[in-house]
Amino acid sequence: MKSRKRYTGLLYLTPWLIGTLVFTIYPFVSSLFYSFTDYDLISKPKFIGIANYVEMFTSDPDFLNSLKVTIEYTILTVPIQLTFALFLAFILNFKLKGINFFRTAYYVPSILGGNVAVAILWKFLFTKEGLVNQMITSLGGKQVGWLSSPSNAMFVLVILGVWQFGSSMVIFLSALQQIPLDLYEAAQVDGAKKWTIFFKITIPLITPTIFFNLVMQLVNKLQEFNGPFLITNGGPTKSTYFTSLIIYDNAFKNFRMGYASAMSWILFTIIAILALVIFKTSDRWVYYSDGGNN
Amino acid sequence: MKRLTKKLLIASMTVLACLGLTACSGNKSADTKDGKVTIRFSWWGNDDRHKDTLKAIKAFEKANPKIKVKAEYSGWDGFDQKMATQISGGTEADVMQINYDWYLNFSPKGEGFADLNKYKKIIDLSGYSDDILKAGEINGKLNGIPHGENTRVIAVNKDILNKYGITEYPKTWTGWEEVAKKLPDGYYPVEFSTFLDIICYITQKTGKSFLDEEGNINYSQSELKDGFDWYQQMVDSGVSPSRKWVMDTVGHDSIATTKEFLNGKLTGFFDWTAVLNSFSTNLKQTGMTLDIPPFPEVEGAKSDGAIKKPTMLFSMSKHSEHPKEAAKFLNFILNDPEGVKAMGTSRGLPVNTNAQKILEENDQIDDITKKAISYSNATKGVMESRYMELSQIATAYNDITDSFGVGKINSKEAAKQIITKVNAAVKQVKSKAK
Amino acid sequence: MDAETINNKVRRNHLINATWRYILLIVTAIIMIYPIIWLLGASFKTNAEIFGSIGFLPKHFDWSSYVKGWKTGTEYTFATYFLNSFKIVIPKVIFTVVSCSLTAYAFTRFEFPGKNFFFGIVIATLFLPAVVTRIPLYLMWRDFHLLDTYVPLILPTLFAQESFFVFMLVQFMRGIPREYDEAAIIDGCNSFQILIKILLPMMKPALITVVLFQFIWSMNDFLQPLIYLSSVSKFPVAIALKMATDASSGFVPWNQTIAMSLIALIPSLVLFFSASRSFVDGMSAGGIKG
Repeated sequence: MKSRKRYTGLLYLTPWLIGTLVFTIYPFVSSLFYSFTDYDLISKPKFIGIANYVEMFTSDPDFLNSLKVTIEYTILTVPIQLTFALFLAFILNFKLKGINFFRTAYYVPSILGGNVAVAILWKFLFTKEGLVNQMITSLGGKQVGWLSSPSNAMFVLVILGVWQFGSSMVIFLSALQQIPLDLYEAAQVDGAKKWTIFFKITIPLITPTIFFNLVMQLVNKLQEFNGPFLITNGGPTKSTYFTSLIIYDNAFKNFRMGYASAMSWILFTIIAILALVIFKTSDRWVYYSDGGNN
Repeated sequence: MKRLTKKLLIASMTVLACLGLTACSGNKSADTKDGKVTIRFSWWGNDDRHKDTLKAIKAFEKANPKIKVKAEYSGWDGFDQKMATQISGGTEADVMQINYDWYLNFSPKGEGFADLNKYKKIIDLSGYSDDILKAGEINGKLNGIPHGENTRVIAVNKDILNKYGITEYPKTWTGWEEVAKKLPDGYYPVEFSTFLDIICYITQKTGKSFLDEEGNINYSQSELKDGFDWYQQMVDSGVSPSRKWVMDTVGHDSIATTKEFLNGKLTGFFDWTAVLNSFSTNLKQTGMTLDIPPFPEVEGAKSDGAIKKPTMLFSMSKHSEHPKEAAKFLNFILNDPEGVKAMGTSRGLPVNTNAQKILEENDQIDDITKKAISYSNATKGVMESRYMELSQIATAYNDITDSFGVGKINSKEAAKQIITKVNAAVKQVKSKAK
Repeated sequence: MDAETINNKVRRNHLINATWRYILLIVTAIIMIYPIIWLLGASFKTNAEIFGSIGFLPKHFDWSSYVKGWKTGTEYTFATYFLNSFKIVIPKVIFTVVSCSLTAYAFTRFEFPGKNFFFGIVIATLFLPAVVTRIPLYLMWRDFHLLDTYVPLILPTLFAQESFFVFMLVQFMRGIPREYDEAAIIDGCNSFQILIKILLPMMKPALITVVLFQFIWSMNDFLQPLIYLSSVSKFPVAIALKMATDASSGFVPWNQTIAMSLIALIPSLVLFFSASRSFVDGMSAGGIKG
């Protein structure tokens, strides 16, 4: 029986296994190989050992700076975004008339994604006499230079990141929907208060989703590209020159695919270590109803 | 539920089968049996350019029924990645529109594209000056034929200047300082903030371009420092807004779509002639007109300070299976009256004098372009090096100019950093050509 | 207190609660949506008006931007591009749901050698920036002679190659107690029936989310189609949009651009709106019974 079950599991995994062998392993291994070469896309890659890795840590201050600002951005954005998303998912889970309209409304900014309209929109909001500054001055404040100061430019990008919280929200929402109703009913019969129910029942039951959103948002934000690409172009003075931007510049503008690959593998390692830490600690705070450990 | 799964499976299989069928065409030019040859032409641009180019293709196919031209076009966004993957995979189109600074990456030794000198019998180059053709030449091989010429100019909002009593354009920078005083607070006569604009000034003083054809810096550190000081003076005297102001107002975007430009507070600016069209169209919607004043002169000027560069070039793939047909097509859009008329000015004005004549006779040139031509023709200018706008190099000098603009470094430090960082970037680029 | 006063109090509390909730919902909605409303207004303005004023009402309503934008400057209208998008997106959505459910099932309900290692690979594929795998992938599809077809865009989804969805479904499936499986086995279900009859119906909200996300993200994806497709006749909406907004050659008709950006949103919005309704249905129909 047990050996049959083994076989069944692998059977269900077959499509993924084939796909991974055919579509994923090759590009991954190639990029790892490129990271040890000098590859300009037109001539054959030239093996140069760890020179790319040495260069980015010894003679490329832009790369180290990019890691610093990307991590800053991630630390700022992820917690705010997740809290916001969970809070709104909680509200949107109410049975109210017209709730569908609100759900859709909140999700619209996320559908817009990296659309060009976003760039126009952001210009309208954050330029010198844009909407935000007009609101500030009408409240008696002073005009703020949103894009010329490093910290303000970062702030603008964080706001954009948080504004597009829709995906996390939807995932939280579907997790909330999956909670068996009788659990709530049982708690209500026991006379538990709302907030008690929220923290003692809702939150523990959706920890797998919190965990998922946390990992995914970390991965996404550490690879954030659209915001800085569309709005700040990495400026001012490289204060929002994120790692994915420097990788893109090296790969497709400077034609240093080898160097870009090496940077990508460093980013890969950083994300992997972070993810590993989260996975390891997840035993302590993530509760799975299936009782198993992965 | 089981039924549904079955249905889904069948649907998926059908879709896959359909995909498999369409898969055969691939990316290669499929030639039909009746001796028809297909060549591919790729370009980027906006809707107007697509319309005009498609018209030219139709005209060509009518005149050459045996050749079919497959149009492969898209917008600029992502085009660099598409081009790079195609070149890397050897799947690029037969005829391509190429950006000036791409040649150093795609063809560092001049061997990345077909040598167009070989097709001189098919492509008429008589309308091109030797100077402009040089821009497409690498190691003696003609990699690309420039389509147009771009000149760095000052453009101003004529109505605003008139409104405040400036009817005659000043001939010197001191004259512009006077203009700044006549305009109300918050108005700036000439916005500039990029390194290219500083270069215009130094070019005028020295008569040399910033980088030579080999990427060496032509300016001394003190000449560069003088340029930065001059820029600072223009900011201090109110001719140009500060770099900070520009960042906050314009953002990472075009001045043409900036409120302060449309309401006239940003009265003038530095830019390339090829993009003036969008400024003038937007300004027209507010009832004002754009004009090109003469370039101000400094004392002891050695040149007129007009930096020039080709707008974009046309190249042919070295992998082309039908190079003669491709060359024939290229000649059609560059020289043939039908082709030139159809192509119009959606890529700016062609530098080919034969084509210019055709367009002029056909009355296809708008006012601001006419002004730009007469300006370009009146200036001798200095041709910009191919290295100038290469990404690594541009990143280096833009970053330094930003740091100077926000007051992080002084002019001496900026000049010093320009020399070390640009040299390092050039060295890095050149390591490819070895 | 008699029953009626308690009842009234509860009702009043309920009313106050609902009011507060609506106020909260509306205020948040305004902050989230105002920018979009501004875009809607902007689509009717002239270029100069878009960038010159911050009010959202245009001076004159001008529908021409929608008409002109729809026609595009290419050989095809947006109708063609929408159709192309659906040709890509619909198979992708179907394949993703099927293949990722199977994969997630394998990871959550079975033990087999190398399981942790394989799951590690699923997660790890999310960590590498796509920029550096673009060239090898392109070369691979070139060697398969599948460039300029939709295969490179669709086929990987048949093999559960989008780790985001695998990971997500794994998390949701792990939230379902194993007692259900065991009960089903006693009822004589085989492993496939357990998946189809027990687990997937319980995961309806999650599956809807997969459909939604895959649909919306594939609709928006423009770089992959741009790289793999060279025939304009095969382009999806996302590329057509970028074409309409090109700033490289002078004048950009921003009103048309915005108009088309908004139109491109419609399929995703409609889908989201209807899916969001079925979230509620799923709950009230008692899809989940404790």
